[in-house]
Amino acid sequence: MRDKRLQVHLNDTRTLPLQEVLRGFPLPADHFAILRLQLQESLALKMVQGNSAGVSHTITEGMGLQLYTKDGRSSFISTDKLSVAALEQGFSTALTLMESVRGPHELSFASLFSASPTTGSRLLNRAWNPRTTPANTIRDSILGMHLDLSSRDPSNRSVTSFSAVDDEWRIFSTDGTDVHFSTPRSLLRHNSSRWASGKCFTLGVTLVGSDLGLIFDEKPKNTFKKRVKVQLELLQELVEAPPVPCGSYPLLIDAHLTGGLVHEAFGHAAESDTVHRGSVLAEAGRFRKGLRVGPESLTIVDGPLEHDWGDQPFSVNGFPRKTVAIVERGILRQALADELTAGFIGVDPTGAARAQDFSCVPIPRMSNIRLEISGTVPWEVELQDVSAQELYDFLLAQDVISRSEEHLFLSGYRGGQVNTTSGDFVFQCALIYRLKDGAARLCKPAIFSGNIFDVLNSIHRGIGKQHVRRWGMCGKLGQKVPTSGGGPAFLLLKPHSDIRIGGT
Amino acid sequence: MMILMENLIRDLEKAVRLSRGNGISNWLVSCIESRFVSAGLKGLEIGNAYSPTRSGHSMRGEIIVHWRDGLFSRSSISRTMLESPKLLLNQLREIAFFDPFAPLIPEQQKPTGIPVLSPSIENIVLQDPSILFSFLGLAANAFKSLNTKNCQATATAIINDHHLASGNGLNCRFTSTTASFEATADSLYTVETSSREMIGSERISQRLGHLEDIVRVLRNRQTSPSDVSTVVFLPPLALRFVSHFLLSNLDAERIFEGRSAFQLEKIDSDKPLFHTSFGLCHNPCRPMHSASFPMDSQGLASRTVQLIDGGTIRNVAVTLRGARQTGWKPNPSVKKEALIPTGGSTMDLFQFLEDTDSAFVAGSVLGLHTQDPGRGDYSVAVPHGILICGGKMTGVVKGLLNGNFFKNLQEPVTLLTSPFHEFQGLAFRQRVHF
Repeated sequence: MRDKRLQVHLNDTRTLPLQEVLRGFPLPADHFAILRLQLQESLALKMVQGNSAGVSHTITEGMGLQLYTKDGRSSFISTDKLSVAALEQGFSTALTLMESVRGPHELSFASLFSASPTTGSRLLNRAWNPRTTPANTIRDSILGMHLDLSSRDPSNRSVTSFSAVDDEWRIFSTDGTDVHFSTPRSLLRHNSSRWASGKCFTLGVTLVGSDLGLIFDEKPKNTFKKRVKVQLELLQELVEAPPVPCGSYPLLIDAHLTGGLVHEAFGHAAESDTVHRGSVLAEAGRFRKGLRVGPESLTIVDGPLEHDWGDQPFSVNGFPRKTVAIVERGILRQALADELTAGFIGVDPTGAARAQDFSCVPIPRMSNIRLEISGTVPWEVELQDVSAQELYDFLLAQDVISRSEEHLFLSGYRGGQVNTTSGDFVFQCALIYRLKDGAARLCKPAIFSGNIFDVLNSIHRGIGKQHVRRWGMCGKLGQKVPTSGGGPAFLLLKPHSDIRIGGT
Repeated sequence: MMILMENLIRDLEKAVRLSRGNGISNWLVSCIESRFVSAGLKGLEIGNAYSPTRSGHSMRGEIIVHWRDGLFSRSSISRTMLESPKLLLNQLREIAFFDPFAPLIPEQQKPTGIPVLSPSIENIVLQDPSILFSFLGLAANAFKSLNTKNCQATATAIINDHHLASGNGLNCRFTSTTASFEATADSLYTVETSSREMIGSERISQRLGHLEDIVRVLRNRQTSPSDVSTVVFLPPLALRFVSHFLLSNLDAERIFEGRSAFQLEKIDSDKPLFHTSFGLCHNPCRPMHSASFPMDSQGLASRTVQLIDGGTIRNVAVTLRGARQTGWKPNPSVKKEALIPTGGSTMDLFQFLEDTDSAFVAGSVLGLHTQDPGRGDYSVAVPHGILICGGKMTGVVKGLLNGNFFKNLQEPVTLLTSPFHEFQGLAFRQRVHF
């Protein structure tokens, strides 16, 4: 059913004429140019209430040309025409725009001129090949799954969606850099909604992958169906669930929320453009390397994982993406830096530049960011297979928490936001459980807010094995890129007066 | 652009003729080409790596095909796809499916005569980006007086060429433009506008002039008060709440499919859902307004629609598909920038604050996008809430707001007008957790 042959669109035959324009264009000596070519092919399907509600197949291609000068000026043009004429016109426009740029400029791009050229290729099998798996075959499979899942509780409203995206990039620069990579990804989602008490309650289950295995392989299909079954039971309970009182509590959070926490509250503050603008991890514009930010047991790592949702092997400036320990044993070590601002904030570049698409200017971003804790309580279970009551029983049996002290268990990540200047953040979870007197009771979700330093210093224990496949679309400066991450299955946080749960 | 569009339509018509065996009964294609010029300022820099002076264009659009055998295709399209119409039609045939509510393409319509293109804005985009730099110069001067390097500003102008064509003779072209300016100081306070009338007027300068006063207050962190029960949403935040909790639910497709907070029987109900003084209008017909458009991508001519009147939902956004589901009359697509609150008691924002003994003013919140609009419940953090005591801004405190926006609108709401904003602020009673 799936085609494992490699298919490349931005090959030499297609790109050689553009490379020749890049190498031959009479640029002033103090100018450096990076040319980014992208081709994206995507298939998206949506089933609502037993019917196909939308199928879309889109192919988009284009290029972005960015010019830099040693004294810190920059201009950028983009077009969705991959032609010699469009590139020549682009050079002309970019040079005109550069003339309009005025200073003074704090940044210097001199490092670009002295860097060694990079050549490299990392191409993966496509997420979807329309020649071997027609769209209508996929549609029929999704519709069958949708009808099966919808029939389990007809009183709910159901939406099932699937998407497969193939993203292919090729980066050239005037120093001879030539980098070629692809990042296939796929996503399967089922949402159930129930209308009660004048409100519409919705819960969702999502699986991510890098090909059509999500809908054609038995193992992920069965996993998905099992999780939807649990979700339907929870939805019924959620309708009746009370709110949780506003306040500070000892907290248990799952790996999805830990991934969101470390991404939103810490990762963004460690991105070099944020550090340069003024981050809680910066002092006088320099990265606060050596600062203790958490306990000795804490390490935070960011780096791409092949076939992962947030994978990107090279930066879109043409440099290899490194895996870096941002925090090592509680000490701040490294920022997520691109080649432009790394020196300015006092760190080494890590190839962190990403762009949403060819029309966007690259900015430092995360790929897969995960929190690691030494000395976790061992528990070989899959996070999604554990109920709140089972978790509570396990922690009581292991004497990790006591019956007399109330804990809140926050499950599922529903997005968050952070002020990187102050370190203040908020997160929304999907569910909250009050763990008290031996029973786990479901409550309505509420906002989880605090300050990143308070949270990191409140980390008490990790429980279970690492889960690092939390997925998301991260928005920053108007650009969205796929990111991922996680941590131990569960994380126990001590109470802190400034770490609050919203509620009533 | 236009030549390319003509080629496209010709190619599509040719492809339609060629593919008669496939049986296309009707088709609609809508295309937009965006062109933009943008300039950015960070501190006193202009044109650095993250906010370079930039220009770009790309084409995107949508195609809907009704096949004679009753199937239906709908897909987004790009320039790459448009340049191979035969391949595109093959793809569309492959993804065709049966949809009992497939939108019927409307009869040919003529767009209303809205002058959508401002020559001065066109000049910004096509010829002279210097107006953008003059805005940035204003911001730079304001930032200098703040004694901070932590400031950013961007000015952007976008021009969109629209082209709609369909197999039943619709052939509509128009241009729309937007221009925006945004300046942020200390990550605390943002001055922004997308109003064409604002850009180029003295009001932007006046607002930048207020930056110093506002930021001074915001830098003064205050101890938490014991209790404040009046909450004021500044206009940009009020628009975000209205858009997040009302607009997303006022959608015929969502209502019909049971995924909206509002059920079918709530429309035009005798029992108002909100306070009888509250109303909400969608007006995409204001001349020269950035949210105005003569025709949406479905080929529906724009018109003013009263969504909520006297606290009752009178109309919702009805796509062509939604019209077939519900039997309601279709409406043109809704843009949040074209929303206007109506009814209720109206006061000048600054006068209201001067007359207030105690209030908590929120200009922005953290976490609104994570809230489920279907329930109306919100639990958000306000990192820089401004405290009003005795009519004066006294300082800034953190606060948590927990409530239900639908319930807030069931109480009498005061609409607060501001000369600097097109939308209105909201004042209502709500407990704040400090």
